[in-house]
Amino acid sequence: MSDATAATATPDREDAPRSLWRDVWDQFRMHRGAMVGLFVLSTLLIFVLIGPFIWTAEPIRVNPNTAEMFRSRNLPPSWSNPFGTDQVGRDIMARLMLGGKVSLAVGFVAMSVAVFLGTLIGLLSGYFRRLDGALMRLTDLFLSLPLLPLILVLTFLYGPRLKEMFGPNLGTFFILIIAIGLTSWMHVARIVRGQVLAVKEREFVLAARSIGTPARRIITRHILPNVLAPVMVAGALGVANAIITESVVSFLGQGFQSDFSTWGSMLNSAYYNQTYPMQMVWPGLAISLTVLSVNYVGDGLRDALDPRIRGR
Amino acid sequence: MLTYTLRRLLVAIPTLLLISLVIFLLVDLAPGSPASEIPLTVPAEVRMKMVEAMGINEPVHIRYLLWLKQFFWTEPLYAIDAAFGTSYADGAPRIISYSSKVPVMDYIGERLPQTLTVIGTAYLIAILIALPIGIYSAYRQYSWFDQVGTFVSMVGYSVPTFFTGLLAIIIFTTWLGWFPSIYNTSLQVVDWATFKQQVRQMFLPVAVLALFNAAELSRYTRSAMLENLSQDYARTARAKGLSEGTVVLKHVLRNSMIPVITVITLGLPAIFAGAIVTEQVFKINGIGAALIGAIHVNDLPVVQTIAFITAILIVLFNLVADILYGILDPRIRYE
Repeated sequence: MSDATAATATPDREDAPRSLWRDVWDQFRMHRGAMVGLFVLSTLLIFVLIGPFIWTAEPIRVNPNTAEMFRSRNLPPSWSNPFGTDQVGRDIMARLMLGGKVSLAVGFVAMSVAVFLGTLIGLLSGYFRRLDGALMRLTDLFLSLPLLPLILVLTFLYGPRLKEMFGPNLGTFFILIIAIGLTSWMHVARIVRGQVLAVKEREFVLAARSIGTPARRIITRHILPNVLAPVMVAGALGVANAIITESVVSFLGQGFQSDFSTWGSMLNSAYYNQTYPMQMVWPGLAISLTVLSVNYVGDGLRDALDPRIRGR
Repeated sequence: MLTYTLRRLLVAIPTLLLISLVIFLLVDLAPGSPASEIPLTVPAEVRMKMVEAMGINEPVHIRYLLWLKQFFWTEPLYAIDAAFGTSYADGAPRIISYSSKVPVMDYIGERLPQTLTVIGTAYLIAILIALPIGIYSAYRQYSWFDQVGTFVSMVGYSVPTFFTGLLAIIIFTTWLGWFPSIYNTSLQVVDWATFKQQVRQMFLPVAVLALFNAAELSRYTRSAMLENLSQDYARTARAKGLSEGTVVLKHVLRNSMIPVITVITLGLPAIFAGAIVTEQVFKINGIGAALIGAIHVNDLPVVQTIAFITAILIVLFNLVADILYGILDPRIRYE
């Protein structure tokens, strides 16, 4: 804001050169929802990543002393357990931290897989006309598949094999990433293809081609940077989608087992322990806050990266 | 238009065949085959007979073609027989569920009414809520109504239904005791009392789903309205002295509805697939619950059939949306 007033006050002075990302950040800061979202998201990330070093309660293992375990079940919030304990006496705050780490990891990695696949397919089908028809039919095909049922089928039928290979938790992690990544690249591919089709007719691409730049380098050096903005927005919204899908799958009892904590599996075990409703409020609140803030950040990013809005 | 529709229908056939192949192979090639569910104590010759009875001793491509034939030829024949009392099917083998040994189509037919009533009602209510909210918040952009509306729709769109569902159960069932949290499928609506009971048990799932769908739809409506309100024709309509109501509700709304109707049409197949999560939370015995149950007991025919019917509906409604778009927007010409 101060920049704009300064510029109008001294119109003859040339503005100092500003990078694109500086402009984007300035526009992003104007979006109140996006800034709140970014703040909430960073708080959650700190809670999840740094929290376990400060709060060292045991999140997974059940107290082997049965009498003590029984006495520590389903406790209400207190100083030693700020969010209470669950049905086998584990500290809910520690479980929330571990669960958040897993949920966010699944979200980010699955989104990366989807964005990578989508960008690759979009670039190929936008740039090479011969591949376009086949790849777009493939995209349409994937868009017509019933996705949630397929993810559930994939995790249930192929999950056991991966669990044998990588152990129960890592195996579940891999199957979720594969299932979510394979079923959510289509929108990115469509967006990227559209952008590539527009960008590749521009003069700088023609210039690059006329001096004999190979296709691979034209794509990576000239086209890819120009399609990055919508990919980033799609990626941000993809994280939210992947986190929800992971928690849905875990909530339906197909993802991570309920003794290992993720936000979805915590909700699942709390659902069967409805006498203590607060146990489902915490993980549900964590998922909702994460998704809400990611969506707001995505909204702000879209506005900030849109040159038509940023110009104003 | 007609040729376009016909061409799209023809293109849909290979797409559907490919989808059916993907679904069939995905489920069929999975490591946990139904034969592995047979206990090891069963003697070898009995095991052979069981495998034969399930029809899984044939090679994959034969089984796929057989499944296709059953799906597209035998099952429609049975449907015709059931409707007109004929006997074209003549006892041909149907797609049988592994776990309950009834024809899969009968099984789906049993589950479908619950899904259609609950999820269909929710979708209808969502549309009725979303449109006025979207229209008014676009008309009064940046007013407090718009601010609250966009925030609520962002929340409704971000908070997953299993959490809103659980919250609704905690508040309205556990604390207030107003509504039951479990859907009673066997309830027959015969008189006023049972009708009231039906409405009460439908209230929570419908409210949760309607909130979610309305959030998404009102966002679309709002942005479509905003785009059209700033168009030149809206200014022209005002300039020639039309009342605000006519400008907004006749000129702008009709043009804004084009993308919204497309979105609504594209969302319709989801009614069939059942909101899997909502059905699970409120224990509604619908299609979504049937699918989850079938996945858990490795009932491959049920899983394949439900997934494929959903895919057919998605392809069909994509086509319907495209055609509707062409009908509603005269600027779009399919040649």
